[in-house]
Amino acid sequence: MIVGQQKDFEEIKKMISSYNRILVLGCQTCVAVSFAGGMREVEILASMIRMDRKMAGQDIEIIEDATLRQCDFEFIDSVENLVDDCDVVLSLACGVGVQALAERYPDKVILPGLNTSFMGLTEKMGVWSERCAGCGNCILDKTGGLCPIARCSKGLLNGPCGGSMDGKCEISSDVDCVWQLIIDRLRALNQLEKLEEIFPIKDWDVSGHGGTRKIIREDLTA
Amino acid sequence: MFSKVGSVLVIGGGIAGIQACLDLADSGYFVYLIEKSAFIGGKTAQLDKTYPVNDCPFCIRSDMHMECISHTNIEILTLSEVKDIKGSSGDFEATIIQHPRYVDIDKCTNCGLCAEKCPEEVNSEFNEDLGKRKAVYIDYPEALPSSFVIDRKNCLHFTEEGCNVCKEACIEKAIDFDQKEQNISLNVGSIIFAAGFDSIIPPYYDYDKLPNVITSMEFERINSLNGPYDSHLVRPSDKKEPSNIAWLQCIGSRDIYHNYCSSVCCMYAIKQATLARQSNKMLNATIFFMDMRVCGKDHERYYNRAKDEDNIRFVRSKVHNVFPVPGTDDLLIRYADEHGNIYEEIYNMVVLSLGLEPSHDAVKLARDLGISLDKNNFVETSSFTPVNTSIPGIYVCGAFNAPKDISESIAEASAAACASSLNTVSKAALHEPLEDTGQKPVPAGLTIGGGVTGMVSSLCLADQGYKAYLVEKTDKLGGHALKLRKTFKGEDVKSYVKELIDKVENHPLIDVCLNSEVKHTNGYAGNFSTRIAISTSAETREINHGATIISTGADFLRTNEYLYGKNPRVLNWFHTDKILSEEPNTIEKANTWVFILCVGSREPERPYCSKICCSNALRNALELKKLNPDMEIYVLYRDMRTYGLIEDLYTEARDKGIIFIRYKLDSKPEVEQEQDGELMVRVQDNLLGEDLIIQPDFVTLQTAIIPRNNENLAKLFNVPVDQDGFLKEAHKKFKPVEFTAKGIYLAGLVHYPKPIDETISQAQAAAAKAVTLLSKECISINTEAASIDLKLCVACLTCARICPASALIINGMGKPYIEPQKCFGCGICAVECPVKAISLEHFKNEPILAESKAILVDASLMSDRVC
Repeated sequence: MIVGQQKDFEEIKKMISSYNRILVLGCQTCVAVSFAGGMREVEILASMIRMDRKMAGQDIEIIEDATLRQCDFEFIDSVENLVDDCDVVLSLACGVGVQALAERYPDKVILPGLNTSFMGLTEKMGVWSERCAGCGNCILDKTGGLCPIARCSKGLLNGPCGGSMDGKCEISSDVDCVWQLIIDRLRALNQLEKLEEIFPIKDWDVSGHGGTRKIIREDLTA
Repeated sequence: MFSKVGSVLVIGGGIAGIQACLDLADSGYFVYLIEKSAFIGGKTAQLDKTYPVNDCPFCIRSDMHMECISHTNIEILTLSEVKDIKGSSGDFEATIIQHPRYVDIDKCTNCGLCAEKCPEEVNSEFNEDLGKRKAVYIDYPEALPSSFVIDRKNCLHFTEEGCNVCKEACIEKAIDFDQKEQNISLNVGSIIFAAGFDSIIPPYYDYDKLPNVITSMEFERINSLNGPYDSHLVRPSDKKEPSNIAWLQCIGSRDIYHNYCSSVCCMYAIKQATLARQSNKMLNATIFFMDMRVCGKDHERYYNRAKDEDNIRFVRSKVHNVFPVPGTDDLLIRYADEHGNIYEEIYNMVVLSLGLEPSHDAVKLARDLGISLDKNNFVETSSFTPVNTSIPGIYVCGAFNAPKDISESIAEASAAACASSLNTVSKAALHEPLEDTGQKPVPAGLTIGGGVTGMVSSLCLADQGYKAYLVEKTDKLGGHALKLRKTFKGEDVKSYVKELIDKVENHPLIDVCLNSEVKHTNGYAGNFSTRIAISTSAETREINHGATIISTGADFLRTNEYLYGKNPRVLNWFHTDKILSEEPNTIEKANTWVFILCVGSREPERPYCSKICCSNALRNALELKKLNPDMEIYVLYRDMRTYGLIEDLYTEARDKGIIFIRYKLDSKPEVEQEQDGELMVRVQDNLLGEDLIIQPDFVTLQTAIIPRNNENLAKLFNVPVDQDGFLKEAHKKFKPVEFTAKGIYLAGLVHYPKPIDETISQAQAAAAKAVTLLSKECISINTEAASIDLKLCVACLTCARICPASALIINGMGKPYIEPQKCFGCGICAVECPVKAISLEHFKNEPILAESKAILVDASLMSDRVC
């Protein structure tokens, strides 16, 4: 899932300072699950903005809503009336959602309320961590199901660097050395020999370094 | 054989009486509640806040009162007295006199017009005479039964004849001067005395002459929200805020007239001082005490906080005089410190921490009935049957049994309900109407832990006709009690335990599972399924039961202080018990014996009192002295916590020449082994200010009671553990044997260290609670349960992750489902749901938002007006 984090309130305030009729639009999918942009967060943020304006003695009108998925045109079409009715849309979706809105409503200013952080999972309530970097060429079969691209600070492919200490990464003792985890897991699975295969230089073209990525499935595009 | 009669008479409508009524009524018995005054609630209703939580007890209390008033199985007779009781267990005939209220309860709407018009103003008893009320009055607006009452002694209609002002004012025509005294005859199966206590103001300290010397109950009223001074902490003489207040402890306790400790005064004085400092941060609060007896759960922590954080001053001294300061309303206190230095201090107000005496009316009635009372007029009970009086079929609970606090009174009330129901046959069958789930509770209880607690609970369940499974980890029943010799009253524990084991093993409805441990449990109140693993075989057993009682007990500390484990003559309490029963020669030869108290208790890493060590040490010391009168016995203590009736032991020990030396935490005694192997104890004597050297033959360490590894158990049953590692009950004061999760109860040392009588009453109480559930016609639908709008749900799993009751599960469709019997309506899921798909029946978003918006509008209108 895409994990997002709400922007600093001061930053949001600045973005919307010249608008008096705002649609705060959440997304009920990934960012709702990561407690950044669901209906609950929409209501909290809207209340904060209202309080802030009230304290400053300024008027504001806020419409609150959330789409099921902001990255699908079909779903954002359903809020057309609300979008038409406001000066600006403050989107609490990920960057994909924000851009989908901007594409669908070319005349409207669309502002991002979130920073789209990473693709990851909920470790436990309130803790999310990155698991996939979307490199376009999955190697998890060779690394015991743990990704060194997303989880090694250096993105190394052939074992740990010299900075791996007591199972931790040299950048911080809070960060696990994923290579330690890979070795531990492969040992437990009795597959340590997998590490004997040397990774060649990785082709980063499919990771976006070769320009914006796009997939076209002929069989589905009628 | 008399046929048993299906109802119970409860005497006293205080907190204990109400609790007993509710448990009985919930189990399907019909109950008559006899209350002397016009309203139920008793002394607890007058209290401001309750220790050790400092929360306002009003909500919980008024819920209980309301439930009691509206229960179909309870008939309340206020303004009533028991005149006579005849008959015997199973068939009593009680004669009740009900005095007229002169107000028709059914008509009175509590509007207050009568009191507004009433010309006669008198002192309000509810406010301890500090405030006024009219001759027609209600104690406080929420008092129940919700009806005014006319006080005949002061009403002008009766005293001067003819006044009809209230009658004319009453729109509902509820005033009825023609009501007459009534004689009511009740046929009941058993009787519970829950008559409570009276407080007697001692003749010293010039209480009646000095207005700013007040009683502790007066302080409660002054500090109360509905008190006489509108909750302003001011003193009576000039209504000025005091800048310093002194609390004097042990007034009417531990004196020549009352050779017992009232148990509750230390804690309530600390509470009052803490609350007083909350309302006035500049206040100097001083508590003059002899021993700080804060033995209950979380009490020590409460004391430490008062001392260390709230800057309340504690002075160890019994104040002998309070003098008026001429020309002012202030008071002069003269006291001597521990070294004999005399000090004088001036206070604006002095609070006398009054002790508890058994209710005087109840003492008279008990005497008439031939119930045995002890020398202090408390009801005489055995430690093994803590709620049984000397007359079969008549039970006792609360402060009429011995001085005790609310939580112990409530546990005893439930215990009395349990015990009394055995004499009462047929249930009244007036069950509360319930929505029919079509599912009957499984008529069985599972008790975990086969010590005294577990055995008593199982027996209570089985005696009431329910199947009782008793799971014990070891290969025999009995637990720690097998090693105990005597209770503080001197009763023989060994023979009691033997008899108890016999009863349990031979009861047809009790299934004892030895060498067994719970591995897994699930289900909900009324229908649990638990898997037991038997260590002697590879088998497991699946048990289906409606209720669970956890009574896994506690352990004792194996200390590494004081040469314990290094020198064979440094003993633990049960070694001492063993020598006492098996080695008379050793005792005869011993010249000197030292007891060290608080070993491992009341330390920074274990900030609680183990409660039973003082009495155990004194009991053993006295036995040693009896066997060998020449032996010198020293008891090294920090505070002598012989609370309640245990004070007797302390007095006797001092009479017998046992020497008490107080030590402080920062100068603990030292135990050394000399070159010749002899023991040497060095302790600082406070009076002399010098070290004393004792060369004892034996040293007994009263080591702390420590929790077992309760974390696993807690996880298994999804119940909380407190900061000391004991299991955490639903409410420290009002729900001592329940958990927030329904259908699971706790009793005994797993809750907190306690002596055997309190353990047994908790065990009975837990069984009583289990029976209120097991006796239901069907498992009730939980109307508090949260519900999920699946159209909005995105299956983020947040609710399932955070639910404290594990009531939320993800079903096969990948959507959450709430098990209504497990959900207790805490609302956490509704708050956390990121898409706002969850709501609570009584707390839907829309009405609450509408309400808060309305409040905001009001507030902004008001602020506009101010501006």
